[in-house]
Amino acid sequence: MIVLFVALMGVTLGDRIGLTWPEKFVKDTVAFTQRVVNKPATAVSGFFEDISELDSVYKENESYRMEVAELKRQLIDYRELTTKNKQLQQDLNFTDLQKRNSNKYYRFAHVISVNEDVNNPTVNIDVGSKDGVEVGQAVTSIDGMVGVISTATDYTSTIQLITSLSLTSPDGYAISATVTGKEGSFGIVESYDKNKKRLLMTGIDPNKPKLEPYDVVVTSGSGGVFPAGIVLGEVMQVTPSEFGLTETALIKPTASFVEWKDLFVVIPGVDPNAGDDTP
Amino acid sequence: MTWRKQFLVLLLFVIFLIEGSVLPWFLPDAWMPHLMPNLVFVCVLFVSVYRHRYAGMVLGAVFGMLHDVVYYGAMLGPYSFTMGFTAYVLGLIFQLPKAPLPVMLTVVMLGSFILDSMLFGIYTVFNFNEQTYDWALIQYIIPDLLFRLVFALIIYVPIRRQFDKMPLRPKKDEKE
Repeated sequence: MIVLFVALMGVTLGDRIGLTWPEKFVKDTVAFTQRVVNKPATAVSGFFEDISELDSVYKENESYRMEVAELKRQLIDYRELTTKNKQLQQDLNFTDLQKRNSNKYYRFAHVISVNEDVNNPTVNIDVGSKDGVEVGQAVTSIDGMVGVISTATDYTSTIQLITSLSLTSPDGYAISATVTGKEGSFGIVESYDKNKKRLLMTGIDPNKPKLEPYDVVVTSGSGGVFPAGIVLGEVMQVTPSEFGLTETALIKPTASFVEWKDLFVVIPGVDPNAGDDTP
Repeated sequence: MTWRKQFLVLLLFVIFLIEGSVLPWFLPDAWMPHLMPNLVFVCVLFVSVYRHRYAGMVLGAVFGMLHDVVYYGAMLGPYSFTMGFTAYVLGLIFQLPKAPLPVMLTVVMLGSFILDSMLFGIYTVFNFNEQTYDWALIQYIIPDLLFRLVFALIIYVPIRRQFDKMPLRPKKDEKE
């Protein structure tokens, strides 16, 4: 009996290609019922939250109005830059692969259930491979990256949270990261410190522009696993590494990992639903 | 009277849905990193004390497997194994159809503690966590234990009433 279970754990450990059909069937059926149960629950909890935040709504609206005005101004700049960028890419004969790497679109997803296991935190969302979701794609909340798709069935997929990232784990992966506004800065994020609740960014070259606290860390897109520009967190502290050749930074993730509402799957490539003129 | 059994399984499934899809939205945010409710497990313990250890083991293994498949992150099996095993062992020691409340609460506490410790052990063996056992104990094993204890207190009376109405048929249970 015990041998059987150990064998099962061993076989299903690490990288597996796809799921078997019973697993898919169970996942999809349970996910469907979970969605039914979840909808009223989120509605009710959202209602109570709204009531408790009623008094701060006016102040918030004020600040949002300011922000919208600011964003509108930036949008004009952004449009100008994207058209220019597209022109330059054409002039420099970018290959299709390179273009694909710099393009991404966000697929909106609802959270339907949460597994609060500390050792193996996962979250299920209501989009699946029919919507273009594939294993290994990054998932973000409004604030920042929360995890990576670990399994995908036709209609649902499971996210393995970034908080389970670890160097020794058989499921480990590395995120190449850079700091916004500092050309040439580079580091690798491949573990999460559960005690300090910080991501560890290693391999930072001390000769490159220095990282400072409150710098925003984003994915760099090099390596081709995750597209560029997904927010990871803020630098909190920079220390020399064990051997002194590189530096290590502690990064505070911007995503909260507790308030589960809506998430976005980052899918590389061009949005199939968008028109031809948008890159 | 057989419908009670089917009803029990259905009830367990409903609790499984609630702990994944409803509870996370109603529990305070500060509790989230310290709690894995796993309410199904508490009910399974009730079954293995008041009915039979084999029934508890089968239910534990089936719902553990459901949990493993639905929240498939790292591997299949840990929940199925630990829930089935704990339900069986505790059923073996404490199986009393007339067990009073303090005994049942002790079983829930012991079960919760064994379950979380075994899960911690399995994930450590497969290199998924680097934390020490002390850290795990304070971070989630003890909060879990208290949460499940409160849940057991709430459901004790209704569940006990249902089990008392259910006739004990050990011979049929042995076959499961």
